[in-house]
Amino acid sequence: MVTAFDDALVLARIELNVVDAARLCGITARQLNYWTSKGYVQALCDQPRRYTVQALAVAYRIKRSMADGHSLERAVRLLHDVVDGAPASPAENRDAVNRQIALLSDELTTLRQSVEVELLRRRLEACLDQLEQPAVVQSLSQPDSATLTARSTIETAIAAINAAIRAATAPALSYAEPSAAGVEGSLRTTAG
Amino acid sequence: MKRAGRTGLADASFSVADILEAVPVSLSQVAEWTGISRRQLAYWINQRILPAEPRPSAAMVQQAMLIKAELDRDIPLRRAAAKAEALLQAARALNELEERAPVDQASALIRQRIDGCLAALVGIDRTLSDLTDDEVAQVLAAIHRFRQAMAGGERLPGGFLVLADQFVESLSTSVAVPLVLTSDELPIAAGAS
Repeated sequence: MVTAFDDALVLARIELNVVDAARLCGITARQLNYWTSKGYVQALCDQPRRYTVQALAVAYRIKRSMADGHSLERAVRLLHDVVDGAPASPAENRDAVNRQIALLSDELTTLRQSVEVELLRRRLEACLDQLEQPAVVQSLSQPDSATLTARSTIETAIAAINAAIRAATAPALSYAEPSAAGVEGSLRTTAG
Repeated sequence: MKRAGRTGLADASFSVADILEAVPVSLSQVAEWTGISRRQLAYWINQRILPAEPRPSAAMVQQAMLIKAELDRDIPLRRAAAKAEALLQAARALNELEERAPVDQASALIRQRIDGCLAALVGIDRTLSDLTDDEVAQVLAAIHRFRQAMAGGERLPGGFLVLADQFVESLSTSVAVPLVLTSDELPIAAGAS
């Protein structure tokens, strides 16, 4: 069993000033000051311009919610709807543990069923990430023979992946997908 | 904030790596955060126990914390550093295995870890009434962290093997009651793929 390091020990001790805190959240210091003055984000009690990582996670959630098109007020309301903080009383904690155990068990059981696909997806994503690197984009755009070989290899790999996926899913898809004529027929029946 | 991208608001959290990437941090700040004196950190860098870097990295903080954990157990510095390095190497090897081993092999290891996590959860569930309030709070925090890293179970996070080991370890250290199950008590029936 490898238990290299748990971030939580360090994260619990980190405090950032308003400039660094704003930078981490991707907002301006002025925004963070305003949200603090409105009570949406908590600064440290004894140092009003310093923040814990936990407080900054709140600021980040507000920012992300606003980026999704919500107003500041709505973003804050949404934040309060989210149940993820530590509940106040020990009894609530016990209830929360029960709920969290059930949720996590379900998530792990679901994940267990799709491990192979998830691994393949992750490895493919890693390849795509590499393809997006500016140096790789530039290099693969060159018309020299090495690049042409590389492009052709990637194309062949993509074709092989698509063929493999089609071969693996064909029986399931042909069973699941009704024909266009069948759908039209059933629509006519329903309408009639 | 890589973990927060694809799920709901509840999953927003920062890692030490996120912070060190976004904010220019001094050795003094690292000292403050890790509880290791600046002088000690500088000495470790000078002795090449820690890497000499223009800016402290998450890897360096991780290594320093592992050394500190060993020192806290009264292990001498050189042995502590060697143990920390061995742990990091083991974690790297496990990550490498997860990324590079044939999918069948890596999947089998991941399933094994998932079963370990599920078994630990059953153990916690069973002993919940015997746990102190502090233990319950620690368990809750450990589950929150793990679920955040798992992005609500939507995706298999990178470094899952290490993450799962950390999770089971943090549950075991959170409670005084041993979390041992017999094989027929495991939540996933034997023989399931």
